Amino acid sequence: MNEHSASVPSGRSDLPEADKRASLEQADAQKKLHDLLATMWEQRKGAVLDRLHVLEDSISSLSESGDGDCRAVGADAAHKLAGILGTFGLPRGTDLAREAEVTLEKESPLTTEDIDRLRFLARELGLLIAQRSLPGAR
Amino acid sequence: MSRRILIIDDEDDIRQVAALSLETIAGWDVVLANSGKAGVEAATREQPDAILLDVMMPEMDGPSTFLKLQATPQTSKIPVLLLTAKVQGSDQRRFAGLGVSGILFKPFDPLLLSKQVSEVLGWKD
Repeated sequence: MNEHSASVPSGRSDLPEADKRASLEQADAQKKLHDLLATMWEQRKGAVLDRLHVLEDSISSLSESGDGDCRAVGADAAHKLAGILGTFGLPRGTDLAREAEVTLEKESPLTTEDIDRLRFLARELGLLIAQRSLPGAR
Repeated sequence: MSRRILIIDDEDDIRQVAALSLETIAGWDVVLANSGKAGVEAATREQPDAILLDVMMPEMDGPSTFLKLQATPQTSKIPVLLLTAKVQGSDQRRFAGLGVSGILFKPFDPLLLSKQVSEVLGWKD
């Protein structure tokens, strides 16, 4: 048993009985929540991917027709991805989506470099979401 | 001590994860609303101990919903925590200026959400 696993509540022998019981219950609750979230991710992954596709479509529209409503649509999709990905254990996904949101909300017109960066961010998000689906990935 | 929390968020995923978190880890009762209007109605009806309120929602956003809650005698005393993915300082100052009880940031850690709520509201149990 390494140092990290020794700190798991279920292993504490120095606690009073009531505290030990509470600690075990807390560990059980955490495991249960972890399992429920894993199930929920599998159920909701499609909706998360739909949101990514909205972002990708808005970036494509930017490439073809310049600034317009698609920036607001893309920023909204990126904002929602930023909010949910970290909650499902993908903090880097939140960082990537947040960068996309900030870029799309810039007051100045987007440059070619901005659009290239947005394409990169969307690609990375796609890879992250796909990897999160692998067994054991978190 | 059992608490009743109202979560107002238009995002289904956020509502469900937050509810699972608060129910599973803290054993609290959770009431859900998917819009500001539905949230004000639920708050009036359910009288929760606290409200988690999303900022960006269509039609009636979080700040507008908070003002409505404040203006409604049955809900004006219920503590409200804003839940936001906006991290820019100007946004945070604007939200804090509303007079809410606190601000929690998305993404939240589902394992820690109830602890964060308790800490912000000064709940000891």
